[in-house]
Amino acid sequence: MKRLILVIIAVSAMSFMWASPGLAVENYGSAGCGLGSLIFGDQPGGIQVIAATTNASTYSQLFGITSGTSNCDKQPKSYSHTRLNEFVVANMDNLAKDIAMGQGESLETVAELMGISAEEKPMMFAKLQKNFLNIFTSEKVEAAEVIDNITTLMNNG
Amino acid sequence: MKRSISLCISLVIYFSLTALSEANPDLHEFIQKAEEKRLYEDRQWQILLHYKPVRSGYTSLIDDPDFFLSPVGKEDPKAELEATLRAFFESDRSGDGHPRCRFVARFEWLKEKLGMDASLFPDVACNEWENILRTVQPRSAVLVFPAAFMNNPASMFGHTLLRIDGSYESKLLSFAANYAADPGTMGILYPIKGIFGFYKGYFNLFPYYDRIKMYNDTEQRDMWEYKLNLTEDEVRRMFLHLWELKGIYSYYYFFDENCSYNLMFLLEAARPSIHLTDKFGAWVVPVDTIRTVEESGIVEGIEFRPAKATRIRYISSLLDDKNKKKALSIAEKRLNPSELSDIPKEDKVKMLDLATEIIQYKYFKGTLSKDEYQTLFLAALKERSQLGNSDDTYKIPVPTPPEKGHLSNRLGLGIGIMDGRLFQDISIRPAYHSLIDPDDGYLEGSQIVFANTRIRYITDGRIRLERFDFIDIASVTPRDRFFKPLSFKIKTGFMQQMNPYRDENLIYYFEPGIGVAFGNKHMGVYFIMAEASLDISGDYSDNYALGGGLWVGMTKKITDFWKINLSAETLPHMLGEEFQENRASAVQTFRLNQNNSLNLSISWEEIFHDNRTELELNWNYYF
Repeated sequence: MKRLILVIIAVSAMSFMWASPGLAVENYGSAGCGLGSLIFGDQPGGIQVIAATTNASTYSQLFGITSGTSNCDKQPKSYSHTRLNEFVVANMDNLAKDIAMGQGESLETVAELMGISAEEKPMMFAKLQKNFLNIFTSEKVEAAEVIDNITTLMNNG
Repeated sequence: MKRSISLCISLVIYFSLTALSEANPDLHEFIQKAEEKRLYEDRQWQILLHYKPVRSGYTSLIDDPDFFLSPVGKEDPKAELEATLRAFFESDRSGDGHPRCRFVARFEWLKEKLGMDASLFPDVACNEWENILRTVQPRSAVLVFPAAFMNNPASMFGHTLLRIDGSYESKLLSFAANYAADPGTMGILYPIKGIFGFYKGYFNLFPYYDRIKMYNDTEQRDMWEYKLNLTEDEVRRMFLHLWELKGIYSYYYFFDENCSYNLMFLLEAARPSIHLTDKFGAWVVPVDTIRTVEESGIVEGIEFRPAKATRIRYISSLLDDKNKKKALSIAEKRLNPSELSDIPKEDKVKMLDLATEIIQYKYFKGTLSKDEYQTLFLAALKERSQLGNSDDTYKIPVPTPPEKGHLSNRLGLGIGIMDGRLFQDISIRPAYHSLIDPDDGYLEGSQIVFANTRIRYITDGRIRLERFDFIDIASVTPRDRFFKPLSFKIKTGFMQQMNPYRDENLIYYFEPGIGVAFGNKHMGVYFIMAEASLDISGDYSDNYALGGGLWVGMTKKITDFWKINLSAETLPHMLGEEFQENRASAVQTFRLNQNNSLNLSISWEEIFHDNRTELELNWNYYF
């Protein structure tokens, strides 16, 4: 009986799946060291793309990597803390947004990774916001630079 | 072939290990102790090996032979336990491949249960394991539900994943455990393979910020985070088991052994006293797993993480029309962000915040190239940064959480009049939600119906199958300034329909449609779809009728508990049997409570120049 119900539902679902307007396949890996890193590799609009992959052991088996930096290995001069670098490479856009707004989850995360205390945070956020252009110096700015620029600002009292 | 070779190798290893035990008195003692205590029948052992009772004993739901140390481990808990103990005493190798580095949960549990001293086990350098333990630092866990997404069949019911929080305060640095199938080369057989277990499913562990980017930002899905009251020890135990499952496949079945079901094993590994995996039957719907988890008492709080699309809509609602347009112009490169003079600061802040979100969204969608995006994004942010601080912590209103929506099965009892005759209906629907059910907790405008069955008793003595819909799926999503989704529908099944002989009989129908909708909560949502219709019936010329037409409708919530749905359809059939089909209906939905609703409907149809009206009151009970 259970089989029969399952077959009935299966026939139903199959007809829907074939007719579905879009199918998504996960593609893991960010694109470079600058703004615009996505999880879908170099292809924005990933939802509408059916990315065929013949490698069966691709992304579905990834385990515990902290680094989406498959194609970014530039390290900041001021920090040898890989977690910080990995985070900024993968979240640079949201970090930029948070710095411009003077608050936000990504900014809080970077502050935590840099060891900034709770008391120091408001001052840090205000300072970074005021100096936005000294952190994101150009459209092609990269994560390592951003980290170094933040460090410089924090060190300059 | 591959399987026989691996079986062969397992047997060789097994027998050599057996020989080994004879040479190791400790091992022998522990095997005996384990047998005396019948540890292979212990709940924890069953959980760790994913054993389920079957007629002939037990079978594990894991399919990968690499998960078992005994060649008969999949079906024999006792043999597996013994083989596991032998494997732990292996001394001829070390490193991450050693069983003590792989089966860390089994090892910890057996060590405790059998009182095995740590000194018996020389260090085998489990570098990979120690590294990940150090990186993740499991402390607490959160069950996360990315809401349903209608544009992808695998996501229609939502999804669940388990976030493992470490010692960082920021949740972005947490990791998310997830079970997913690996479809390899996608093809036309994707749905069949997904349903019937032709894909291998694996557990994986991604940075949480990455999952947020995927679900929240790219796929526009709100995320619900259910904080669990598991202790640090319990979460650690769960993580140990997750490690054991790394790289291990089991066949993925879309209906029952899917993403949500498999996560339940992890929760049971944390706290064996809760029963989750045996609470489900032929199909497992993600939101039902949340309900079951809640019932087990381990949920202590819930947080809402709105999608980028939700944020865009909210910020936009705080601006007047003129400013909304300007914000959009910035994102469309028709207005420079620096040209927002004469606008009060608070509005400017919101406009720039909105423009920034839209710019990011357009980039995800591929509307902007990377270069365009980088330029636009920075220009908007530069302006925003110069405005300084503002009270722009947007407090986005939290909708009804998904587990508070009506339950997935529906039983309907109806009474009505058709053609002047009284009738009574009984209907049953195992899944899931329709446009005339109360929306609370569900994606508005979505309809997912499987195996809807309706039986009618007419007071002239007839009992008949009124309809059986295999599937009836629809998505009616209004387009607005920012988002331009398509609306669609697809339905197929059997239904009673008038035939050329002024009588009704069961026909088979198939009706796909595509269109657009517009409007919002306040004015109502209006849609129009073009549809095709194929009817199959022995009473038709050449047994079929093919046609195409139009379907229009609207839906509006009048109060918290009262919703109205209107629809009208015209469907001329032009090939096979030729006839005109027109329909119209008005349905009022009253939500009595979470699991009870009423539908009052009046419908009219005209087929083969014969028309009739039907009035019905239905009571729906969800369970």
